[in-house]
Amino acid sequence: MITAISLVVVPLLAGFSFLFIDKYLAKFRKLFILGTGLITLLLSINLLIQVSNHPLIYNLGNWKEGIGISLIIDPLGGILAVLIAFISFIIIAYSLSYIKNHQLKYYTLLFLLIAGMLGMVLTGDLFNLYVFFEITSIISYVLVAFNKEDISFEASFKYMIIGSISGILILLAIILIYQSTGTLNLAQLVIAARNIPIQLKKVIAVLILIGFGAKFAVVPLHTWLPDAHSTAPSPISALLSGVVIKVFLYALLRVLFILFRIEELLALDFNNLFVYSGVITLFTGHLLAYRQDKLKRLLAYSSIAQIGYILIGVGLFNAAGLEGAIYHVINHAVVKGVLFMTAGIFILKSKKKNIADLKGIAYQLPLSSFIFTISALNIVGLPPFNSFISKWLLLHAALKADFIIPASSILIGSLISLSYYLRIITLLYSKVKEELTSIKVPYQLQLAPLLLSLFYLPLALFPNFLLLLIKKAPLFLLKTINYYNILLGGEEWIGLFG
Amino acid sequence: MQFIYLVVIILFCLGLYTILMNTNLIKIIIGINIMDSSLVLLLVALSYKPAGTAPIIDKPYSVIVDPIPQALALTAIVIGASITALMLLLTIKLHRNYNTLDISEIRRLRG
Amino acid sequence: MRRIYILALILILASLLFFTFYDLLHPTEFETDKTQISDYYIEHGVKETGAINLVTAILFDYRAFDTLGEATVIFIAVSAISLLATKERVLVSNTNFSPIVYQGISFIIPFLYILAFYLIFYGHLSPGGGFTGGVVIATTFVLLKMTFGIRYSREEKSLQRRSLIESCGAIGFIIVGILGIVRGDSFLANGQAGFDLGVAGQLLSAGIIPILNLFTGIKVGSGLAIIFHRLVREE
Repeated sequence: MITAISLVVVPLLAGFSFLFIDKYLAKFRKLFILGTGLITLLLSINLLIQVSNHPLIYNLGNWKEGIGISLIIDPLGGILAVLIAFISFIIIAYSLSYIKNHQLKYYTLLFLLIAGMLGMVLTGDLFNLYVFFEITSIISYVLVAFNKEDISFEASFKYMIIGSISGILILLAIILIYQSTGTLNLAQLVIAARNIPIQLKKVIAVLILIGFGAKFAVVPLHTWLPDAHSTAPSPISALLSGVVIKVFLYALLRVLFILFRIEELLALDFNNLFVYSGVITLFTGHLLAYRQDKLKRLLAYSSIAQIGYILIGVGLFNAAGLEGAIYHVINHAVVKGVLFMTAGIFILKSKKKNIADLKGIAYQLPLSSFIFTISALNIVGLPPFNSFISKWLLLHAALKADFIIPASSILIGSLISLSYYLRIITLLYSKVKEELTSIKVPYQLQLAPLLLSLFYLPLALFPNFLLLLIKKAPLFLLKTINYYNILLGGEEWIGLFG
Repeated sequence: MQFIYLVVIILFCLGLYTILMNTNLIKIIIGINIMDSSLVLLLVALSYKPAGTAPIIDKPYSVIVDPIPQALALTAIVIGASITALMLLLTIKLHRNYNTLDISEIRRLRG
Repeated sequence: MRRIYILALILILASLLFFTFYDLLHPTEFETDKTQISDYYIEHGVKETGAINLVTAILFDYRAFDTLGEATVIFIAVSAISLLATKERVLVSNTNFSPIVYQGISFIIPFLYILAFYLIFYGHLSPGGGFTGGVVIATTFVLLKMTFGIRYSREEKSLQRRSLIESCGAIGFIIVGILGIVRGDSFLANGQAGFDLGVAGQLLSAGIIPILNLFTGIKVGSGLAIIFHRLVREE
């Protein structure tokens, strides 16, 4: 039980107390940073083991559900918590040798960002979700501007304007939900939301779709993402692209499925909305990525495209689609993390951001280039890799639900991405006459991406182990009555088709 | 429909109009603040009950207004103020770098 | 042309909101027990938390986790502004005020402190609380700096001290929360964890609420003071 709350409190406390560590115990600083990341990771794994069979509820201040704030953790929350803690741990290890200045503020903000994301996936209270949502967003704005360059301030400002408008829309939606149901507890809302008139529900749905959609960059609202993710420091780009946008997507799905039953969503044609906005997002992301000449910008556009894949899977509103989507979320977080980290190494080495300037860098950075190549082929979705499995699951689910165009666009999109990633890979391995630079890249910097890329192996070879866990997620996300039953302490869950 | 909800709607739309129509950074920030304030007003208005007293129970009152929206309003104000402070800082930075507050001249990032 | 699109968008939004609020305020078929929770707070709030100010009871007891989040938001803003603001000295102002202003400000400062701590300590009894009190504390710093100017030599040191104080406030909040776990209950538990709720209406009552108020006040006060200092040094 105590694991749930300590998962939020540990990084929060670490963020608050890092100033003291930095000032008085500077010797133990590295140990403290890594230790916090490791403890968070272990706690999250412990939590996942607990909730994989019995979702748990933790009442803060021991108030009854609905009176106080509760944390409600179901398998999906557990999986995402482990994903967040794991990627964050790798990012922390990478940052230790990447970030050289303003370390104090950097780690303070990074810990609080981890706490904010974990709070978002663990909380069972609508307004608490908003508070953590704002914590996560504000830190994202700040860390985007961390480099203190002109363009990073500009990107941060753009992100901030769009982000604050989306925050306002979500707050309005929450006020409307509270006023029409009288509760803020997510599980109680499952029952209470049935009384909201459909007209009002539609307005709330529009507000949260725009609000959260702007945050995970669904296509008409994606303009901030390439700027923000490409100007941020590389570890932050990896974290933003890898997990932060997925957490916002999780928040949308959680609230949406609680407000509407699946039948209502299908009657309102939300599945078409999701799937086809996913298709548009996918193509926009891929086609714009094709035209980029800066490496990190290309990766950022590729992230938009991957959000498109995930949206297609989610929009099917069935278990198979969701499983594929969740598996793709995990794969993309891992792979895009590696890609951004290696891109950071390239940029550190060559001091240039354009792809053309990276020509022949593979001869100086053989390991990083190899990892980059593997990861690029992985994210394209070529057969032996793990992304292929999740894309295959998505394709299969889309075909089964008679969405022919989205299914074929998954294939076409992968072909487009293959073309632009191949362009980079051939550049990396093409021969050049002179040495590029003599800048030394610290060896430890390559450890973190190497470690993360080693996880392709289990993800690709033993997908069934993970899928077994993932299979439990739709049970609580789609059949929200199960989510409500967590409150009652039930042990019997209603199957998806039962 | 009470008058105050019309005020909320007008303020909300006015804020959005300010954001969309202006190219001045400061005015955009003001627009976001107006939208934020309209929601705070909405929260306070929703908690109101006719002839209700403030939720401080020093003696038994018959009608007491809903205390939850007021607590939520405080949170919304704090978050709004923090974002405003950050946006103002970035505005200062942008003004120093580009020597203008016009967003159409600042935009170097495209695509 | 753009103007017309925007106006159309705004009009659509306005009508959408109008009908939404109309629905919301004239419930027809969904007359539910929607005020259940606020009624619960009004009925049991004083007894369960010991605070007669129900807004404080909600902020620092029922929904104290939200307040921790809010405090974190301010902490983030302070860290962010310290990170992004320039550290070099910038001339602010060298205006000389008349002696009346100097004397008046010096005279008013102690009273402002009294007001601030009154607001903080009576947060559970009357309107006020940690946030309001903290803002009043921050205004004293603002007033002092506005009138007496900024001495740069001692500036950076005092800012560091202040951010230490701010961290203390935030850590204190969490430690009080953890005390609830240590006493065998859950995070941020008040009455349930056996903290003495006292007699409602007295100064020393409501368990952890005044303590949390104090920590929040310290945090917000020093935090806002830092924000002011950092921002005022930018031009």
